[in-house]
Amino acid sequence: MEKEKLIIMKGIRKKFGAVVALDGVDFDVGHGEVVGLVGDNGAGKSTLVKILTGVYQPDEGEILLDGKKVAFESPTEARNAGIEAVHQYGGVVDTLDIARNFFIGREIVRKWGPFKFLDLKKMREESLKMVKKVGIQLRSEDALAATLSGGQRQAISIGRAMYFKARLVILDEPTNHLSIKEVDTVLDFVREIKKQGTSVIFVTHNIYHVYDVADRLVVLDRAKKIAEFMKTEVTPEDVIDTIRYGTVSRKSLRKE
Amino acid sequence: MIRKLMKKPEIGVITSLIIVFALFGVMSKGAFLSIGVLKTVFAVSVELGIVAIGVTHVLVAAEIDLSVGSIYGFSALMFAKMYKMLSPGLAAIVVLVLGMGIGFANGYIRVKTRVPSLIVTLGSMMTLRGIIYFVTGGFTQSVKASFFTKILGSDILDPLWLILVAFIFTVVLTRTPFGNRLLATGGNIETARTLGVKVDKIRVVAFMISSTLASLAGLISISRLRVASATHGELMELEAIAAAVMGGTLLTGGYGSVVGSTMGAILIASLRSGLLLSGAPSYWYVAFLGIILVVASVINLTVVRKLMSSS
Repeated sequence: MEKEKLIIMKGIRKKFGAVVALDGVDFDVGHGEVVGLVGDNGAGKSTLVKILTGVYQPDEGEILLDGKKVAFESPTEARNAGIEAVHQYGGVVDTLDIARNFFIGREIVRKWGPFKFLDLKKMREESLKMVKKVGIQLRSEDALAATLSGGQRQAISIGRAMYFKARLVILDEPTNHLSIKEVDTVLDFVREIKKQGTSVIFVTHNIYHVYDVADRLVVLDRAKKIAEFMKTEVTPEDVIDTIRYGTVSRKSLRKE
Repeated sequence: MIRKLMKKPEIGVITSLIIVFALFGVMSKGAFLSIGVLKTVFAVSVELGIVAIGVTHVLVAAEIDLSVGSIYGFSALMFAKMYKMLSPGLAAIVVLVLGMGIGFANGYIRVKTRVPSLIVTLGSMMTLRGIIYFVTGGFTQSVKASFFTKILGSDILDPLWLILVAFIFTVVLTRTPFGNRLLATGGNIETARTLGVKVDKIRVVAFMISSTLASLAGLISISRLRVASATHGELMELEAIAAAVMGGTLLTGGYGSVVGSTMGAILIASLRSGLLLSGAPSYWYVAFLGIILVVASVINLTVVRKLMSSS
């Protein structure tokens, strides 16, 4: 069974000083599955994501990738394993253009003796191709990222994840502060990623956004996993009630 | 073409440079544009320009380096102290390695202790100046002409050194993976870190580029002047930062132009010689420099704001 899942996290525990951020959480994602990770502020969602992306290391518990035990010491290690995080503001540097942003840390180079030079032309072509594939219109292809909208910025991060063949894309609060149209674009991104067979974790506290695209929903509350639903079993209102009252809402139980 | 140029952050320094040259040309009745004067202007520009190019890398990383004036003076004076014992060439290598080491120390202390670079490099600026006084006893040091000083301190070759350094570091900053990572680190350190950039290493290297180039400029200065006092290079750190900022480099990091910094240095050097030639008392130089610095920065910031806002 374990090999059927892309990633399995078992008994993850993490403390910051006296604060318990995660108290023995089990979490998994299947191949090509979109999992909505929901919960109120401070529930432990972002800590869980940061452990998965190598930003934090868990105090206890283990992570299995394709059934094999892994321990990510840094974001680079997680990325090399194919886990790519997309943050709304985090993934883009304002003072650089799209091509340079797209390839930060993984630039396309041309070797010349012992020296490596940027292949700016190829970087530009490849990045624009991917960003357009994600479905974004650009007014200026050479503009600095500071001029881009929230949706366009995410398109860079998502395009990056697809270009580098990520196996799991983690979208951290991707729809916050976006306009209604941009939210639709982001939800389209998610469908596009899924279509390519890539798994997605969609972290949010906006149930309606994630409900549209998720296969499964996992609810965290005060450092613990309190519920896990297949989307078909519940309504968005059930999930919201579960988050609100901290226990699985009756209505959804009736459905099971 | 002009519209494209107006979008370049170097526009402030180019405009100022044209105005300053025209103004001094007229005020000095043409004397400013004579070969002799231009030679002096360029000689000063070479040293300041090389220092400014180094500092640009630190500014791009959203850090600051106040120690370059002291490194510059230290390198000139250490060369003067050592060249007889060692050969001039060997002394120069020792000096450059020392310079590089100081930059490593600056950067390493900065990233490991997280003390702001303003404080770390202020500390090394004062420490080095103290060492200079200790080593020289406060006396002026001189150097005999040699093949080495002729190569490094000649009127004809020096502009070539500047052009070479400017070319190399334009390539480093804009055409290498290191340059892209340096820009990313300065533009948004958290993003760079999450994208796997080794931001500490990048910043240490930026400090090493800055100190090594300050050291090289110090060697060029002692080769050209063949004497240096214990105050050699004082206030140069501020002139170098001014040159970089005039040239379009952002103090907030993430953007910088090596060519802009070079032109900023030429502008500062012209101001110094031009004011002198037009008969203005020398103390006007600092006041003028201050005004130009603010004006050029305002122009640059306007250009950058335009680039950073959707249009």
